[in-house]
Parts: sequence; structure tokens; C-alpha cells
Amino acid sequence: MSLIRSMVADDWQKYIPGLLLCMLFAFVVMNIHHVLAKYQKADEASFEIPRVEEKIAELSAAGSDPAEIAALQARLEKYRKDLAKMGGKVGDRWEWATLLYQDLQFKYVAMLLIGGIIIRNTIGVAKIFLPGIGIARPLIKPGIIILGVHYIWSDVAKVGGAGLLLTAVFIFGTALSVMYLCKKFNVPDGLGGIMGAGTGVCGVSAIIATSPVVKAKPRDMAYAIGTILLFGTLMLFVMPYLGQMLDVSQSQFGAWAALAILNTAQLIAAAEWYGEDARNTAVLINAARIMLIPFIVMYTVWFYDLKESVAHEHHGLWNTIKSKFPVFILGFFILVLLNSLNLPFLGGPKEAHTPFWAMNAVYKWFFALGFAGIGLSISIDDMKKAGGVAFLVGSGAAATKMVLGLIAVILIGTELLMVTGGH
Amino acid sequence: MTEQDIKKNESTEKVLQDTSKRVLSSEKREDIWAIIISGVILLLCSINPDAIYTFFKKTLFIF
Repeated sequence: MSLIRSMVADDWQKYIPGLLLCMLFAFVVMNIHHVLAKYQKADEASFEIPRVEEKIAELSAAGSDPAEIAALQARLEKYRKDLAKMGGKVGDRWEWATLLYQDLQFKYVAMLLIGGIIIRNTIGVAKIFLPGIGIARPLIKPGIIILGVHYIWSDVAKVGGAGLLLTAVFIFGTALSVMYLCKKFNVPDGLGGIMGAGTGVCGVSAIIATSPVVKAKPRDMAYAIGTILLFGTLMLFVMPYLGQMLDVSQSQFGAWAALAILNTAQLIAAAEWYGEDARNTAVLINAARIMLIPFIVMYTVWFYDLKESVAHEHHGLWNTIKSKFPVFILGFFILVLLNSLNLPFLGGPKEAHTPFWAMNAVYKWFFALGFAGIGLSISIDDMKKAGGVAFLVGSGAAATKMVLGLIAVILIGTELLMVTGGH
Repeated sequence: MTEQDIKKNESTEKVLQDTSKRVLSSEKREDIWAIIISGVILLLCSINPDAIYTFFKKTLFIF
């Protein structure tokens, strides 16, 4: 009974209004996204149908491979269905939908984030909604677990292995540089330590995990969290466009974002914005990254020479690792394992009428709720709180990591970073 | 530094550590809830995959 009670906050009622607001916001935006997507598909269909028909006629006349003709006919059938859904005919155009949905990438992620920021900073959000908005953000976690049905172990070994190596190099390199620079510029150990851990590994979680170790003050935590979130917010909006400009592939973008954006929620948002393959790679590398949190805590202990105090507080290495381990990632790996086993009663994300196929339809709603929470919680006033030398060092290190990360993923190439998803 | 200042600093330190622990434990709680929610979804999807698929892919889109 006490276990159940400990799982529920005493004042759980105060979270309901904000959570309902996020649900309503996510619901409206997902519907707008859906309508935009339908118009964009109809526009594409209207443009493509005459071309595909012409191509089929050409191939048939030349007596080409029947398989190629059949593939084109299937594509034609899909286009006709897309056009029929909007009640249109060939020649009808909805160019505005293509401009918004495809060219400007104005999808549910962008609408929830930009819309949320506009609402929060213009109309404002009543105090009664704030606690619930705060807990909508972690609802991205069940979405990440459910996304486990998209992967198989060979993906984890290939992409996760490359990601683990990449993140390990970048995490410890960044953390060491930031901690060293903070010491050089006489930034207090507390702020330097959490800023190093935060910019190196997984943003807010790492800051929270290392703050008791370096005895960071609440103001230090606010500065470090502010810096990470501010940088992440900027990158969230800039990187998808930068990726398109630099013609970075989806998988490369996923890996690049996982190195550059330090907050899980912001990372998933940026990668989802770029595309499904980008998100698949980003989620897997992020899983590898956040498993390194306990090690960054140990690293901070070593850097600030606090071995004795930690040995006293946590009774050794194993307990430190155990207490800082992100438990939810186990759920993700259990689903990857079940998907890899190819069990007939669970099916797969592409096998219709199976449990994993149904689960594949659910995760986006969790993401939408989480993104609604992020958008509505970004207050420009709060972001101004991040400041001083630590902010410059933290942002400089994060920006350097972003540039070096881009070079690394371009050198690695798409193949090693691509998730296949198996059956 | 007076004795009062030392006591004040110590109590601030304690509040700080308590806050960190509370935040960290709430993060663990979030993680466990995430696993429970996913488990429930897996169970519901195993019982009736078509109903769950239709609800999240069709029913929730009203336009």
C-alpha cells in the first residue's frame, strides 16, 4: 500500500487542469496536422498522376519489366486514393498545403512548440495550469518506450554501438573542457561541475544527478538548466533547417541532433520534425547516451576530487550507478528484445492487426502531449535567467560540440547510422 | 562569520540537498510510471489491437 502511495504525489489533483489543457492543445494541433497532411498528399497526387500514367504507358509500349509496371500501378492507385479523400480531380492544386507541410516543415511538432511559446508569452497561462504543464513533458517517456517496437537488436548493436562510441567521446570531451574552462575562469565548482555534466551528457537529468555531488546551489542549477534549455530551444528550431540546407541525410541528422541537443524532449522534437528515420536514429543514440549519466556523475566526482564525500553518501561505485540509472530505458530495451524475437503473437509495427502494429499508432500522441508541455512551459523571462561566464562557456562548448558532431556524422556516413527496424 | 550565519548556511545546505533528492526521486517515479503506462498499452493492444489502432489513427481525428 505504501508502495502505491509513494508512486502518486500527495497533491495529484493540482496536475489535472494543466494536463487537460495539454491534451486539448495536442488534440487540436494533431487534427490540424492531419488535415494539412491530407491536403499536401492530394496536391502531390494531383501533380503526379498524369506523370505516372504517362510513364506506365511508355513502359508498357516498350515491353518493360512487368514488376516495374506493377509497382508504378500500385503508386498510381495510392495517389488516386489520396486525391479521392479530398474529393479532388487531376489538375486541382493545394499548393499552400505543400508549402506549409513540406517546404516549411510546419508539422505537429512545430505547431505545438511555436504555438505553445506564443500562447505562453502573449496571452499567458493561468497559474492553475502550470503544475500540469510541467508533468506533461515527461509523457514523452512512454512514447520512447513504445518506440522500442521499431527496433531490432542488430540496430541497437550497429547504430547504438556507433552512437555509444560517438557520445562517449563527445560527452567526456565536452564535460572535461567545460569543467576545465570554468575552473580557469574561477566559476564556482558547483556551477562548473553541473554545467560540465549538463553540456556533456543529457542536460537536465545530468544536472540534477550531479548537483548533490558538487553541492550546487539552486541558483547554479537554475543557470545551468536555463543554459541547456535555451541552447536546446535555439537548436530545436535552427537544426532542422540547417540540416536541410546542408543536405544531411535523415539518419545522419538523427545522430547529429543526439550529439548537439542535450535535452531528451527537445532532441526527439527536432528529430521528429526532420523525419521518421531521423527520429529512429536519434532515439537509439539517446538511449545509449542517457545510460552514461551514472558514469558522468563518477567522472565529476573524480574531476573535483570529491571521492571521499561520495563514498560516504552513496557507499561506492555500484550504488552511485544504480541510483542514477534512467530506469525507463529498460522498458525500451524490453520492447526491442520482444520485437527482435519476432514472436507471432506480438507481430511487428508493419504487420496489420497485431499488438505491435497497434502500439505503433499510439506513440505519436504521447509525443504530442509532451511537446505541448514543452511549448507551453517555455517562458522567455525564465530563459533570461541564464547568464554570466558559465552561460558563455556552456553555450560555447555546446556549439563547438554541434559543429564537431556534424563533421563526425558526415565522416561516418548514413549506412552505419540507419535503423532497419527488421520485420 | 557568526554562529547564526553558520546555522543559516547549514540549513540552506540541507534544504538544497532535500530538494535535489526530492527532484531525483520524482524523476525515478516518472520513469516507473512511463514503464507502467507502456505496459498497460501493450496489454490493451494485445487484447484488441484493431480497436486501439482505430481509436488512435481514426477516431481521434475528427476532421
